[in-house]
Amino acid sequence: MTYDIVFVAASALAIASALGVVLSVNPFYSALSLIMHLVSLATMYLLLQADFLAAAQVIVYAGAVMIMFLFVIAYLGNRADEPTRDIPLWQLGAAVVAGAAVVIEIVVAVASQAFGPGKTVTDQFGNPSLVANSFFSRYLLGFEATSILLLVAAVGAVVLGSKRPSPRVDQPDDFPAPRPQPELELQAAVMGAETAFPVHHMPRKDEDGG
Amino acid sequence: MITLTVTTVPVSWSAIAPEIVLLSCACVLLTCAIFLPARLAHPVGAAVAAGAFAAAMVAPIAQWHDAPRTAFDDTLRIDAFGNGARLLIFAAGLLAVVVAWGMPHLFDRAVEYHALLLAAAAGMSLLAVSNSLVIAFIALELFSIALYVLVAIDVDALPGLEGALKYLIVGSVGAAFLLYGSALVYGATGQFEFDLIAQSIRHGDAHGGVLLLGVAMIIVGLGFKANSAPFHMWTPDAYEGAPTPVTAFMSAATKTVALVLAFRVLVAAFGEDSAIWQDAVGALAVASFAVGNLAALRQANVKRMLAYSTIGHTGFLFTAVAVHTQAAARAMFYYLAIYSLMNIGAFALVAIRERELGRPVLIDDFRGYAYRRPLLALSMVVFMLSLAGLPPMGGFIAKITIWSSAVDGGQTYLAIVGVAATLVGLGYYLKIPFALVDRDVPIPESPYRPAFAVTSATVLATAVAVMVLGIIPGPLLDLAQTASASLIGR
Repeated sequence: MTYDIVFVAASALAIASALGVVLSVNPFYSALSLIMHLVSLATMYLLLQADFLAAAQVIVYAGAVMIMFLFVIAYLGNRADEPTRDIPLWQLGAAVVAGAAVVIEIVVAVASQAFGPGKTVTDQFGNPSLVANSFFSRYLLGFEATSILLLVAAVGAVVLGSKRPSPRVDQPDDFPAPRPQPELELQAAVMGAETAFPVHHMPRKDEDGG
Repeated sequence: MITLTVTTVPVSWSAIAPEIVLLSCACVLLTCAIFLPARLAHPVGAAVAAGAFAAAMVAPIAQWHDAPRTAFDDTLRIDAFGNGARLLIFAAGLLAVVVAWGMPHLFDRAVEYHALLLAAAAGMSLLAVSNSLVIAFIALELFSIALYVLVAIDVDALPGLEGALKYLIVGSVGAAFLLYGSALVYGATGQFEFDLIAQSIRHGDAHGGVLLLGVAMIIVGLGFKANSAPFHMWTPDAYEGAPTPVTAFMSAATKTVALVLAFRVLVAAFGEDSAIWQDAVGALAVASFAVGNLAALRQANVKRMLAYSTIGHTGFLFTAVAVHTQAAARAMFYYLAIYSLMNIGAFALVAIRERELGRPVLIDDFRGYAYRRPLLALSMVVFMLSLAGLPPMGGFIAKITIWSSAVDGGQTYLAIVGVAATLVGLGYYLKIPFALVDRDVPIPESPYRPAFAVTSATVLATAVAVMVLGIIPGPLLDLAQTASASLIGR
């Protein structure tokens, strides 16, 4: 009985907060709804007696990942744009049709038990020892490859985010190519961001070449 | 009392030797960069990267004739099919290092350029031998993220930023499709490994509707990466905006790895059910033929034209996937090798012309070029004739083998559409050879620039290779035969 009440409450909260994520105009509210959503999912993990997964869900997703989301939103500026403002009607229509097709597919799949009767899990499902076992045996390579993936992403972020490291080396036969001088404003326009700081237009010292 | 029992998996170092070499060299390079004076950054970066690519080739060559084996609990399958793809990727990486030599825009990002190139190649190499949807997705993201950054590595160039942003967004959508499809296939079969998926389907354990949707989404995800129409939207902008060496690498290596993965996953995992995906892949091939060739006719910018032409070439490669016989796999391998060579050569030549002009290269910029740089112009003619599929170039044999495998495999309509696409292709590929010999343009002074020597030598070498492999295709076809036989025994 208690189980059912908690399950229904958690599911309702999960659906409501998922709707909140996509329907909020303000990205901050979207992010906060997402936290709510992740916490209700963690509750469902608890109901499945996967306590370690529930804890990891809260710590990693609702904690670390969401903090990063909020940082990004704060950094890019709190833009309360109407998300569907500039989208042509046919694209909206196509999106609705595609979304409806997926919903129908899921309903049909669930109704016809297309996923089969489901697997029974052992008592130990989701306990740290089993998680560790799958990380360090069956999915060892994937686990390690993911760490490389994160490293590459971090290096990439540094490359894109850092300023030019040093004046460029002048080679005797380097053509001083007249390249367009993008300014911060233009870059920001490309990235779709609004700069919250004043933009100074300064010619680059290293551009006059050899 | 908790008892800790961790069943370890045997680590097969030889299976992932190329990735280890590439990634450790990338890490060493990034670490050393802190201590390197700026003027040494490019030489050291290029030397380490070239050495890493050469060293990474050792394991695939040494394992070439070995029987296929699985490693890491069945998540990797080391066979000549994957090793052949690895060799193509490393060769493309090596050429990308050489083409970038002396690129003025890369000087202050030289270390990052080479490190990310190594990381991208490592991801591609892992993808080429992956036998599991999990590894395939992680490897795909690994090389994609490295490429997103490489496209924008010249952070001052707006076209690069625009191209990278579009590539990032569209590429992420493609990856999401692949991931969702993989999840559905897992839901339907309970397996990630390709051979186990096939086993589950054979035993009738799989659930039709979910499996069908999963396969469809996987094909869509692969279509994004293989720049197949209608998922090609990012290609022209990313290819045009990226620094030309990156474009050369992307066009050759990404295509190779996407096609090899498509062939492997569709044949190894869903080979028994080929009826459900054959026509879909055929339709993508036809769409790519149409969009790529018709759009390329209208381009004035050479890089954009070549970008649309790669979409057209996806049509030929997807033809081979749709046919999926051993002969088709062999044809696809030969095609990928020739395609990589001629595309890298053509982009290297564009890179040279870009540096001469200091701006993006239009087709008109090649007018009269034959009277200024006869050897380079001759190479360009070789590349264009080969891309168009005219004898005696490699591109001709490549197309013939694809068509003959399509006719033998009962997909004659794809061969017919391919012939029509080739005829349309003549319309834009031949623009450049005609422009090269245009006498009506005043020929400006052009002193010899030693900085172009390395890139020019690459262009000449690839041109010679494209021609020689077209006249004597036997050895390469034999290698392609070994590679295809290791995947399909038909």
